Amino acid sequence: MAGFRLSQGFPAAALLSALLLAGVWAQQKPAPSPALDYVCPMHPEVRSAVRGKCPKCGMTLVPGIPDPVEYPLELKLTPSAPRPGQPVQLTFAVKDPHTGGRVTRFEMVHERLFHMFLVSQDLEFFEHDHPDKLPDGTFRYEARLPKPGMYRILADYYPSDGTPQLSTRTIFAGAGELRPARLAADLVPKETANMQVTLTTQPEAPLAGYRTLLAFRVRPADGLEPYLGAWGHMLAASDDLIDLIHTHPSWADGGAEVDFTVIFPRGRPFRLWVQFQRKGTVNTAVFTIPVRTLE
Amino acid sequence: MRLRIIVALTLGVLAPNHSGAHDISTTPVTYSREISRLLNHYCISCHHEGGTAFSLTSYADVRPWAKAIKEEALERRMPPWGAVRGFGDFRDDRSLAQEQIELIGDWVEGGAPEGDRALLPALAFLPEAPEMPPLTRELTVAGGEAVISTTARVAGILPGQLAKGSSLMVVAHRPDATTVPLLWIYGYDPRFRRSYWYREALMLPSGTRIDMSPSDGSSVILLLKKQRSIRDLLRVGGKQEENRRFLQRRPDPSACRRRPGRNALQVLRTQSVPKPEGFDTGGCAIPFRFRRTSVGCFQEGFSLLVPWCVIPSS
Repeated sequence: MAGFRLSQGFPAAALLSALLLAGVWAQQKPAPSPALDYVCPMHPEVRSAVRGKCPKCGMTLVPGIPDPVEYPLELKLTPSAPRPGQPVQLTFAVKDPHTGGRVTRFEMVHERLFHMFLVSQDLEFFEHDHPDKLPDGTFRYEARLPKPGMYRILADYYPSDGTPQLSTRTIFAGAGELRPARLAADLVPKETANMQVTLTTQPEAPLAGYRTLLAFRVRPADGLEPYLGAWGHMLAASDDLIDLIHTHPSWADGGAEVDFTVIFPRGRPFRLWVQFQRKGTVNTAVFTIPVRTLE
Repeated sequence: MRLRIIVALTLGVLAPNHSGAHDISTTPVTYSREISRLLNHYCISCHHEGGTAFSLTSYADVRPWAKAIKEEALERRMPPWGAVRGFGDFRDDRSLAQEQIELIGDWVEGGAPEGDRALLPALAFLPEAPEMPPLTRELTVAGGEAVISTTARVAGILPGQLAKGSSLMVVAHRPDATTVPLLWIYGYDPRFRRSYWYREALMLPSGTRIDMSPSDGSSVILLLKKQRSIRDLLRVGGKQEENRRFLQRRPDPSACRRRPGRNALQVLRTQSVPKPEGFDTGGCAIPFRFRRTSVGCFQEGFSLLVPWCVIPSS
């Protein structure tokens, strides 16, 4: 990694990471003409001149330009007033904006029909899981909200005949206080289930609105496996839980280094949950990075 | 690692560049393909020639503003929706989704390339207010916390007193211990104060506590649903502004016909329609014949669905 860090200011690092990105994309071959333009419905930056699968998520590339249409998500809680520490059933129903009816057919996204991230307001509680699909088209999940307060849910699903959806919802356990979290920077290497995860950022002090390269190194790296169709998954959440960014590696080859590239939207602390799978075990490492605004 | 950097740099230099001789384009996201569609959907209803803000309808218009567009979108100042996504389920949510914000950031940081003009979409001016709002009465909630004393059907909400740049989170705690997110304003800009209409009206029983955070003297106004009659709807006096806004979206000069001495709308007949989901009172479809008004001329036979009205007994 030392060779990558050019000991220099941000512009050089930005240029380098920009060129690095261009290189990664160049390998994926931009389309020479609209007629041959195939695109991943999930990752608009992934295109191909020929039919094929997205290298990031394995989804079949589709011709043309998908026109994003919002499919509203209804969320029902049972019981309707969940109590901290008690089980609560989350039922998700997706509505077709054209007919108003419930959507029952979904496409796979990263090997699952529905991904759900659940984060508590203090950003101490994190869950990435996959609600079960019921015959009526709804998705059900048994959760346990550990403490009183607000929780934000990021749901990731892809209605057949529609476009991929990322929806956010807010639920509450008990009354709780509505107070933003106070996050301190934490870039200490993490010991997780069966590996150690370290994080280096480029630039060292990430700037809102500019690309940040998040270079993760895992040790040991032997037995690293794709987890849900990617070498890693990351959720980046701002301290106020307004920004919830779900992203996948911009570079990975199954070795010890896995890079993500993120543009943090605002100058606030961001908490990162990064997940890797090694020898069948999912490892989740948590870091907190302060993001500055360029004055 | 070193080998990888060299490979990446080489490919970066060789990557095709559609955006002009001097730009270094490091993104496949282009104006013609993605960004024009986002602008069409979210921006150009105001940002067009003769509109309320400078034009963003062509690459030549947009390119000089690229950095500013990125900053405004990433900071969630534009489009000026003002409410945080996923906190209250609103109709016609005009805010950008996270992945759309990422797309804009990626485009601008990649050199804001134009891309292949053959991929440009047709310009489409979308109406700003697709539906006429329901008839409501207002209930102001101030002082951080308040308990409502009657059962309310809350159709919408709007900021009352709120300092510029401040944020405010509003929730309702019902007597049955359920908590409902009502509104989360982020970085309030009074220039764009607006009403937010729920996709479905919220029932708040008597005794519901409205909680605001921070509790610093800010206030919000709950818009409580009232039943609307056809007479209300068509009364030109008080409803003139609503009618005008609604009709303005489908002007058709060829259908203009003078009918001296008549009101702007003439009801031909009413027709019962099934009760739409989320409405309590049933509905009517009212085909109208239009005439010249102060704002334009309108097509004959246009049908207006009025789901919140009361069906008259015949």
